[in-house]
Amino acid sequence: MTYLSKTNRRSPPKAGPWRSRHLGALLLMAGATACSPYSFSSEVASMSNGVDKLSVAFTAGYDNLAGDLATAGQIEMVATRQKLLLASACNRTDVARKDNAAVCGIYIAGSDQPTLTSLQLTRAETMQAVQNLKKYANALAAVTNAADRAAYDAAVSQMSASVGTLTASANFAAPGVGVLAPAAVNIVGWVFGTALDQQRYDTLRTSINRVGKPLPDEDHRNPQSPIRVVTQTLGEGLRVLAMARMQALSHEARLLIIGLNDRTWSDEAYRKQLGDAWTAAATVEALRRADPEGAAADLADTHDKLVKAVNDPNRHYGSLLKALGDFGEKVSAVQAAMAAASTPSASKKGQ
Amino acid sequence: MPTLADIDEAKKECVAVLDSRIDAAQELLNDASGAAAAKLVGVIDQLTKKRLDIFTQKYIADLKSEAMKNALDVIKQATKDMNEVAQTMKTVTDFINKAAALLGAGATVLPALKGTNS
Repeated sequence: MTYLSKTNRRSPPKAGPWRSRHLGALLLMAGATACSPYSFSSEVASMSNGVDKLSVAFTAGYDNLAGDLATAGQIEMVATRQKLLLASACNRTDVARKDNAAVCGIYIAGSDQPTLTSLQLTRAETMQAVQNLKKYANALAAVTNAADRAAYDAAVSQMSASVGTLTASANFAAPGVGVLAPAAVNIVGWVFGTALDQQRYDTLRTSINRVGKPLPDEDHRNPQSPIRVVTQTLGEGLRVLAMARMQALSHEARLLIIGLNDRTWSDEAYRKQLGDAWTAAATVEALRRADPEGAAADLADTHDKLVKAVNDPNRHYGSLLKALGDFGEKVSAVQAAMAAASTPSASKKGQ
Repeated sequence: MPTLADIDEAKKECVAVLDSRIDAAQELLNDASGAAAAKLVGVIDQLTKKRLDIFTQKYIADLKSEAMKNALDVIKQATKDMNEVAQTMKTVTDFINKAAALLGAGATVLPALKGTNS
């Protein structure tokens, strides 16, 4: 376990006269706690960061979808110049329930009143699932947080110093107690800290195994482990969100283009409308190139590697790092594509 | 009763039919202008919305599935377990800090008390 953290290599505290007698026993105990939860601190933090990006991608995707649909609607209204009406939902000033599809908006007379799409109505449930995944990643980060052990060590040190001060005055009655007492505090603190580390590592390993197993193998390339079920569904959700944005943006671009082809334009107005159509098309292209399902699959793959690494760190640590790199790259691209907004000024459309 | 594979196959067929119609409408649009073009844009919008709806319904079914619910339950339980264990060390650290502060105060007070008694 050459890569394992400093915690594993941490020496027992200076134990004064105790040291020679009990060092052997303590080293044996240290051997029993060979795996440290802090070994995976930075890897888990990277994974948690990637899950945060997935979450941001969902939020941006839902927000921008609403914007894309509104913009496409406005462009259609400007192009057709038909009679407009305000939706009846605008008369309802009470708070809308999450499953209420009616929208306060403007619509063309004779068409349906504006409503949220069935995809937009999944927002609350989707974000709840994403939130659960985020909390899981945060809990992984919490249980591998080396700062907690540092704070614990500092507290033990402080305790030892306080005991030293308090017992120094007893030296005249019991010579050496002023040295022995703080040393004993250090040793007990160290043993107890090691036990707490072991408890963290055991829980980390149990939790990761429960969420990540069964692992894929030659016969079952995509077993339905909890992490795979969740990441596949969320990957599918992100893809459908991207598709919905592409649908709205493509419609917007088509409306802008037929407008350009059908009228006489001033150079400036033509350039403006062409620019808007171009921006919509470029946003569609960025969404087409993003790979939300791939990013979600990479998250599951990274988790698989984490399962293998906590069970057998020596053999699988390198592949965990590689999987983290792949996941990080893909999820950043998805986040950027979802965050890309196409916001042409509708007031200038159809000039 | 249709299997998941049957449903998936039917979905693919529907999408393929819609794709061919969208392509055909797009070809007509490329040669159209004025009101005809506007109408074709409307047709393409409807077809692409139908296409999107197929994928959306599949996603909603997966999101609300029993498998998803069970998977999230496992993840939530693992989260709870890890948070509890992570908290233990913090609680112990807090306790030691408080005890150390108390002993520190004792170390200050004791010599003063001894001075008073002597």
